[in-house]
Amino acid sequence: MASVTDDFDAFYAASYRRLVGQLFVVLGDLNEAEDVVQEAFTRAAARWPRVRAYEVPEAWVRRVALNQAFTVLRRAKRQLRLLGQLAPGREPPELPSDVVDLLAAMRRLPATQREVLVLHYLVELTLDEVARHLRIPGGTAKSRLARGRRALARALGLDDRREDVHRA
Amino acid sequence: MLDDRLRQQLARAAEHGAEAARPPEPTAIRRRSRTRRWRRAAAAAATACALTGGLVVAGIDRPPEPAAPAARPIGTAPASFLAGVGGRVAVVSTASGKVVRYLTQAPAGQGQFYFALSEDRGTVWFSDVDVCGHSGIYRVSYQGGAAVRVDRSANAEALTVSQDGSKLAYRPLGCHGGGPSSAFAVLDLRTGKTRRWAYSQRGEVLGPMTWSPDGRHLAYIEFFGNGELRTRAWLLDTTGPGTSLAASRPLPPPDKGCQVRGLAWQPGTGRLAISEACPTSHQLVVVDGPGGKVLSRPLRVDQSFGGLHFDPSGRHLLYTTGAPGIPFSARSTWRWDGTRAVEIGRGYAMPTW
Repeated sequence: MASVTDDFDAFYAASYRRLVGQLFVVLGDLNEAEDVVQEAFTRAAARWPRVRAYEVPEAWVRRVALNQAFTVLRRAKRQLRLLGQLAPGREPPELPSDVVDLLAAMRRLPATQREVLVLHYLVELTLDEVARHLRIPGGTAKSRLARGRRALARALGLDDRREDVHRA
Repeated sequence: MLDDRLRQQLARAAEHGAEAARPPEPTAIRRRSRTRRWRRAAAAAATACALTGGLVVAGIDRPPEPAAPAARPIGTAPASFLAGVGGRVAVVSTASGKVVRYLTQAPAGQGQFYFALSEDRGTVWFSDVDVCGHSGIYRVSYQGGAAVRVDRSANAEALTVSQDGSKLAYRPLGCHGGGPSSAFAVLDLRTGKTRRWAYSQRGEVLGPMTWSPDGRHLAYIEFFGNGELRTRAWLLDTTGPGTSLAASRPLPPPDKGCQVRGLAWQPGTGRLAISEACPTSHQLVVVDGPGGKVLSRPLRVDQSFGGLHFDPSGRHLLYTTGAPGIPFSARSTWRWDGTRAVEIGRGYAMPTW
């Protein structure tokens, strides 16, 4: 039988990169994405016997990492206000231009819209699940997704004329 | 359709982030968690003492600070590596390509081409290849000193040590032209016991092998085919009940027209790097663990790959290139950090770090 430690290590090995990828899209900065994911795993390790019993432990770690991401973004916003300027997030080298464009477009969106976009499109949660995950009303999730989607499509030059958001 | 486009683009960006991520070892995460718990407890104890008018304990049995676990693995390659030079095991400088010191004496047999280095880079195991079995497996410090024979019976090649340093896998060699009785042997370095696996009915011809990070599986290459030599990669569960290679399961086949040349499991990630010789080029393929999908093909080289070895951080790869069949003296040794490859020099046999 696997020990608790083995259990955590296996979970960590299986989830770390996936979560960094998701947080990378939210934050647009790989270092910050790794920092918040590592912080979330550190907290998960501290309470692993409880977290492992959850139906989807990865969702718990993602939630903690997203909260951390908001702290990072708030800190950046405060610095922006105080300093009047903020250096753009460091972009990892050798990204294809379309990925760079996407990350730049995401950075221009409010963080609340970014996380809904990531949860819906990347994690493939339905709108109901997104709302439950973020503990927000379903209507709020839907409007954030619609606004984020529209803004992202416009920034990327994609056609956003289509039926309303339907995945609920 | 817009949803699909957005989904694809977001997934592509996330894949780039996931691919570039460098996870620290889980032990570092657990250690950080423990340290933080201790600090909270110490702060709470100090506060309680202050509130109750007691003395603040100065001599708390403080656990040692973690050995500076880097948030990400250190970005420099190891300063030296092991290689066979003139039939002896040598420590070679990564920067200059010069021999720093020899760890063994002049060979008694054909030479010491097979060796393995523990993950803490403290211990080297090597075999002195002697066709008639008068040799054995030895242990010597990476810093040098006297070699100690750890297994008299073994006449071995393709030594590889598990990442936790507890198991040494090797292929027993035959004598007087006869084939060895077993295909693989795993020496438990803690108990001294050896477990062996027999050939299956196919009578496999075996190539390089590598341990999985958990020390459970051995991935290995088999050569087969009449006329044109072909290869395939297999996975053997060394904790399973089987006693022959028939218990192995196949790894995903190489790209069409390509042959597998080398395998290296990346520490800390569970990813497997596979070098392939293809009709027009030679490539490194990274798969997501055993049976997993192909994640990337990050490196192409002009000449055929030889051995592959990751450093303990999993960030730096040591490999050789050269036309198939040429002697070690003509092969080039390279290091690659994921972005650029730097040639170290020529003439090293089986470079390992």
